Amino acid sequence: MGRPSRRRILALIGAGLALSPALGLPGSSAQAQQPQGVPALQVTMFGILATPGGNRVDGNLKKIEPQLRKLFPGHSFKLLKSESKRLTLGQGLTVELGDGWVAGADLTSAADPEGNLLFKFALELNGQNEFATIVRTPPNQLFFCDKMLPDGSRLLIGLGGR
Amino acid sequence: MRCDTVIRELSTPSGTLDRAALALHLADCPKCASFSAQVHELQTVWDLTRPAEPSADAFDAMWTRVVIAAEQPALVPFAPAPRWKRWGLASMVAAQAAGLLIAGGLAWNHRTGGRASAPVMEFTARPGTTLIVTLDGPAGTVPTVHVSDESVVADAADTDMVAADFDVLNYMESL
Repeated sequence: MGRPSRRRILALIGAGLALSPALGLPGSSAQAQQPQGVPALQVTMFGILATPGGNRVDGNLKKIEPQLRKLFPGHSFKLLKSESKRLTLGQGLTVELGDGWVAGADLTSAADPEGNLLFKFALELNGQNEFATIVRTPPNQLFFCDKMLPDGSRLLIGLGGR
Repeated sequence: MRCDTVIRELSTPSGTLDRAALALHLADCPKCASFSAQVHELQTVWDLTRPAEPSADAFDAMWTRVVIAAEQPALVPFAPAPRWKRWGLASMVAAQAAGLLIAGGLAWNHRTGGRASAPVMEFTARPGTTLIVTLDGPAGTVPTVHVSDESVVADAADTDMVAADFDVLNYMESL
């Protein structure tokens, strides 16, 4: 199984969202409304494997165990990967989560009229697009994609920026 | 004369047996006599109900078609339809083929999860909440999407009144 390149997943995001203007989605128009001189933002994306039952927590996640339990009660947690980068508009971030799963996000807008960050987000399995979406979220606030896996566990992908 | 010889002659007459000897056997053998009576009854019924014999020419023509068909077993002989009917049939076949292609395409798309048309949606998180988009269904399928954005607002139990996801973001950024 080949490792999907960052270029590939960004291309998938682009292809998946290419029709957004035609569908009335704000993905492309928001970028045109950006004020000039917007500083770069720190964008963080990570993957956690959450297994139903038990209370085991990866040593890397001990410090945020209470928060994870609040977000996803009744699970054991294992950190798969975490990436944090300073991005300007149009730049992206890719996280390879293992077993063919890759998540990618593009920073499309640093501040819409409500002050939200705008991301293009895509989830890929073995080079095939599983899910693509546009996400608006305030700074300092996470967006989670919760993908159920065949064995009942959950692939949690967190994305946020400020 | 043996019984089996008599019965075979009664069933498929060859005309080679001595008619007098045959009649003598039937007069002395009740079993063969009974069989002879049944054959006679069957012949009577057949003579009353048989269809008219085709002429020799008709039979030859029919037999010729049978031979040609037998030599080309992959072909089913049929009379050519009128031109309009042929076009109509061709259109119907084309329409059915197109329908099969569409149905096949849909089935393939469904079987492969419709990856080429993965859903594109837009989600907006409300301030002070964490947006969780849950994708149900096995890998490779178009997922069912559930959205939750109300369960993780900071509450009075949080001593620092900071939402859980903010702590998680801080920590992940520091890794």
